[in-house]
Amino acid sequence: MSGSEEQIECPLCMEPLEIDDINFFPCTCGYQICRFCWHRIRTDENGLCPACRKQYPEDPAEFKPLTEEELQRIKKERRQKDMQRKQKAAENRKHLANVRVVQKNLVFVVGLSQRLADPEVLKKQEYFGKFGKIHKVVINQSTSYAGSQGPSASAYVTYNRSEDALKAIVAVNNVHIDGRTLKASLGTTKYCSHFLRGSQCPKSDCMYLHELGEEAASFTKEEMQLGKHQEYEQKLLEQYMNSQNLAHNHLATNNRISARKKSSSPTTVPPSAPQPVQSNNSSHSPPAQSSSQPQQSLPNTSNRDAWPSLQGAGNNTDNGLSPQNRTDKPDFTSENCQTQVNQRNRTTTDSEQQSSRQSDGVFGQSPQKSTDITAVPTSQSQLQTVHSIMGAKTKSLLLDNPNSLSLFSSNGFHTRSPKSPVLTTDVPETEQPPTTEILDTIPVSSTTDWQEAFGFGPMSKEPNNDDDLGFDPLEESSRGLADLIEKENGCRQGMPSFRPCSTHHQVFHPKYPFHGPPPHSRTLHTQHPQPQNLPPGFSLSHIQQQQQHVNSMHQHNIPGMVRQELLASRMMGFMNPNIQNSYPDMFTSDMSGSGKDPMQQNSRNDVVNLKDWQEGLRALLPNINISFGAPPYSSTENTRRNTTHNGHNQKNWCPNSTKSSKANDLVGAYDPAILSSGYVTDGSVLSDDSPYWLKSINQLTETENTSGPNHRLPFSAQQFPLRNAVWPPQTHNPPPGFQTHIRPTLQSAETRTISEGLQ
Amino acid sequence: MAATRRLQKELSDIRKSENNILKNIQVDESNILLWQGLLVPENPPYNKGAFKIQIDFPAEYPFKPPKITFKTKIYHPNIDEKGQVCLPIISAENWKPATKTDQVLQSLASLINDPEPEHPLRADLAEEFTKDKKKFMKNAEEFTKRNSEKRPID
Repeated sequence: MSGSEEQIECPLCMEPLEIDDINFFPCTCGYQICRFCWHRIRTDENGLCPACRKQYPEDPAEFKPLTEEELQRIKKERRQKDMQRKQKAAENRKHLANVRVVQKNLVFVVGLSQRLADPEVLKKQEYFGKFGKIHKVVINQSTSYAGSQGPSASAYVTYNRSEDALKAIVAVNNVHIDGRTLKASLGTTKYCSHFLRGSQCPKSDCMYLHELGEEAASFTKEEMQLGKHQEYEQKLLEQYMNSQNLAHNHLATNNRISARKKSSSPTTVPPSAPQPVQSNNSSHSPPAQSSSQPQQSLPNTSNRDAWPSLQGAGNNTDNGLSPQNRTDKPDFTSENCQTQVNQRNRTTTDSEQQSSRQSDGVFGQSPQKSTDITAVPTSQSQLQTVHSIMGAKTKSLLLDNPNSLSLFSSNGFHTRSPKSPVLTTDVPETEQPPTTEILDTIPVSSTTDWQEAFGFGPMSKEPNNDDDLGFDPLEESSRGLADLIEKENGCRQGMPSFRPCSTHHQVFHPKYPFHGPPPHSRTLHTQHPQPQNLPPGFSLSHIQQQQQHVNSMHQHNIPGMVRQELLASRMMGFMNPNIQNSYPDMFTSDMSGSGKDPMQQNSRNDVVNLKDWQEGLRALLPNINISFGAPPYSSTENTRRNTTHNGHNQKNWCPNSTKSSKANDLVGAYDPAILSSGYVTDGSVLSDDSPYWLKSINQLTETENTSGPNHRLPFSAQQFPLRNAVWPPQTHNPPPGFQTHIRPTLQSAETRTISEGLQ
Repeated sequence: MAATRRLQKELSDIRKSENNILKNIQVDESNILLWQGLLVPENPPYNKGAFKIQIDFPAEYPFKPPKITFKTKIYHPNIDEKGQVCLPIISAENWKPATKTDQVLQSLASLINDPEPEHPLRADLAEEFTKDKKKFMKNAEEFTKRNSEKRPID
């Protein structure tokens, strides 16, 4: 009875027949219905049999009530079946109650201030909206995750695409904003209680899981306490980075750079932004600015518009590049960072004040120096300025281009694009005054906080490392920063720092070689670098000098590739005791024609006081060279250099690399700055620069003369005040290799010191 | 409740069955009591087109019969200009709750294919049908070509 009977339904209401309906036949025709329908027909309806339309008799035609025994037996069987069914479901899903599944499209952010603890705010373009389409944001106001940084909320941001989530994590993790350090990781989700019970979930938009998650992404609470899910996340992030690298080596490097920049930028924030801009402008501007528009700055808006288009152009150029070149680029950047670090170590002995003074002097000095300065930040302050510039750029980028805010995309594309134009630009003549694009971006201080926070983000791969770092580095960095800030603030306020620009250029340059020197790019390059380069503080005379240098360089026809190599070699030289040797190599081999540059560098090296500046100039020179670079160099040379560079880069990248440790030891307080500089040079700077370049190019092409001057002036003015604030933040950024280790400490220390010093 | 549960079952059964009298059945998720579909008669003069019909189920279904109306004009003795159908099986007095919608549709299809001039809703057409079948066929075919829906492609 039980098996088949259970499935019998009343033909009218389609409800399964009750146990005691099984033997209930109200009509003589034998048509069986449930007693509920029978009762209804007799009371509410016409009282006819639904099948034969005979009047229902008073009593059912056939009804043999089940005996107690039968009832008991049926009930028992049913109960058993129910139990078995429920047990099956429970057994299948019971263990899932303790399981959390890592969601590849879910970002869990901790450390949000009250200001940000709003789904609508976080969805905005300047925050998490920039990384991709957001499906849902859930804020957890509880401060249980806040830790020691005061009341802060956490949020679950669900993206439509997992790549966007990873992108957001890479960018946001360890960002400092509103006095709190953001921690971002992939979020985990538990199974819906309805699903565990085997019932249907009544909530239409229930965010809990209703289907079995991926085995590899499922972790029990015990496993999570062991950090297994973080290992999984790490793997995903690495895959993400690798995929990025594979797809676009350049882009990947850019992204890293950008991430680093981002990290650095947050510290620098508004005050730093202006300074870096100036420095950037100076470095860039000398070559590019030379011709038509000296100090005048173009309107930022135009730059913004150009930005997107530039990116596309940059991408195209990148595509044209050989794979080897692309791979080399990242290496160059890392090398630059390393070299910078080494230089820093060397220069660390020099007093910060000297560095600041030098930097100031550099601006006023001959154009050659200015160009060099950009390349190698000798003093910590310079480095800081560079970082700050980078940060400022990133910030400015973010601010200016809300649409293109996605740090990764914009940075990566920008960096490439700018380089390519630079390489092609053989024409120094066309150089225009450095555009204030960077400056434009910099002035936007309001969003700086967030941007800064993003700037810190570079940590993506190793979010947890921060904890490992410990407090020592922070303290050291904070002390050093405080000192530097005090000293430098006084000095710098008056002086615009061009160095940041130079660092940016350097970063771009390495990439440029990859692009090779396409014929069309030349025009772009000429337009490009110049507008961007003009620092706010730079005077026309400076620009002219720079232009002259640039022109000389152009005459030499230094290929962009060569320049990049030169930069790398320079960097190497800085890193190693053989700096001088590296320089000659750079100039002779790579430059082929540019004897001036090496000469200048040598002379500079000789001068002790100028050391810092020289380094900066060197760094700048490579940039300049790059921008000027005209003919494509031999691929073989580039590849060789690249390979060597790559080795160095790899070292740098290693979080635990000896270099990083050395740098920390040597610099101590300076470490943060070094780190930041390294960051900037590696990726962030490049990425940031590229967008600017693009913008500048566009601006130049469209409205070179008119717009240029206007931009510059406003920017320069704004930048100066910002500089002070910016450079300290820069220190926060760790170098590419060091990022994971140093970051946490640096960031915290830096932010603190900066805030103190500024206030 | 009873209506919903039964109609869900009937609908899924009809959709599963291969011999569909009613094509393109559309049922609003929020109101399962209202069905729409295309009736594709097999016999001339109605086999040149398709006719959109609507089935309204009362909340008391199946204790009360559904109502069928033609949304497409049809030249037929048993269907008036408003689209009302005289279908004995779903008349209140003949309705049996045990009757399934599928049976109703079969009955409707047979009525369309083979008009019953004895119980006309349009006496003029019934008269024409009985007295001048040829003329009726010609008019009905022209009317169908003019007014009917396009037959869905199977």
